[in-house]
Amino acid sequence: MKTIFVIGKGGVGKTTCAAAAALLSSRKQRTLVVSLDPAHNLGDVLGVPLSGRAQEVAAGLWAGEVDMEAAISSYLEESARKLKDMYGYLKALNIEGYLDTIRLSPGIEEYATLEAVEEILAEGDERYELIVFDTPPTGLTLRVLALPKVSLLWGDRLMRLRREILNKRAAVEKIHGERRFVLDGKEFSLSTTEEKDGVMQELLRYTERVRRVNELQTDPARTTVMPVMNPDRLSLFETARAFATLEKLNMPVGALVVNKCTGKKEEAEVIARAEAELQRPARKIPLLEVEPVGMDAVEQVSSCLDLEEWLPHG
Amino acid sequence: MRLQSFWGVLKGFGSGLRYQSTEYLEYELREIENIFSLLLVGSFIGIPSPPSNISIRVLPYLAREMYVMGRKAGEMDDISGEVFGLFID
Repeated sequence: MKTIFVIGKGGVGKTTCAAAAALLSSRKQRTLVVSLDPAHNLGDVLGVPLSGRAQEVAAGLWAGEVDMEAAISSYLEESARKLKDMYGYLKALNIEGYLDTIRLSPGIEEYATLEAVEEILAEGDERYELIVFDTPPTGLTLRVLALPKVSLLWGDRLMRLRREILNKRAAVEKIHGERRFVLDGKEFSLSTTEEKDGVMQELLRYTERVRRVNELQTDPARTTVMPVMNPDRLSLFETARAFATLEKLNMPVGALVVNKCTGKKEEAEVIARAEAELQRPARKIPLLEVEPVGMDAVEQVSSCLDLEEWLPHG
Repeated sequence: MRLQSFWGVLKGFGSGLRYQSTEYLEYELREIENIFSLLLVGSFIGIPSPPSNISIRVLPYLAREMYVMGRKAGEMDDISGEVFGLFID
């Protein structure tokens, strides 16, 4: 199974391009196009109301929109449940308050989006040959794509620290025998081995999960990024910055899509500059007379694209 | 009788030695447990911390470490007391 991430500033035509690429792909293989953008447009572009469950919108083409609010809520509720299980009897620890604070914390949207991506990849593995992701505006998307690498770095550090703790506890236990820790009448045993330590097992499980995502997103045989821009300088600057980040993350990037071209002379200059700076060809899509809404319009856009330029191969 | 009390003295001596030998080790252990918890909840006090994703997953298993962190926070004014305590026989 392969993936294409379509990225770009808000309003450049990401969703339209994602739908067009997916439509092209669906003629040869089972394809899913899914929107991660909290401000969903995919259903509008395809002319079909979409939901969190993938539905077949054309032969070989499935589409869906992730409900981000619901994803964040269920992510936090799951955490609340785990915390209550362990600490529920400790009234002093205000768990509801803690979780309400986290909900507003920077980063929650990124984690929830990454979890949504993981779920889609896991469920889609056997069902589709290609998954096209219509992403949120560039800033959020890049933070989401950076998350696996960041999580791996932290995970490794924390595991090293945890091993030191476990080793020292084992050393103390050798001398004093097994110790138990009592807090508010509840007894906890202090783990000294990795197999029995809940923290270590959780860290191992989590790092394994994000390692798999990181491997997928950096594998040119399985993933490509399709950057979409408009033929103006601001769009180019943002795309160039995004490109620099993607390089650091070792993500394979395909050709540029320059959408909404009108043929003006200034545009040609921007496009030439984009090709030179980003070292890849630019594929132009003309500004359509009528807004591309509905399957016919998506077909029109897709006729401007050659999917081979973004289909991952090794 | 004499043998019993002699044996009692030896046992007391032995347990005293055991406690002395692990006192510094346990101090180090508490320090690392404290750092571990601080790292995990650090985002709430403005120090670099892992994605809160990781913290939330691991928090249910950290009763002991959170307790140590709470104690340390309370004893912040008397760190020297804790360190000097290591040297008292």
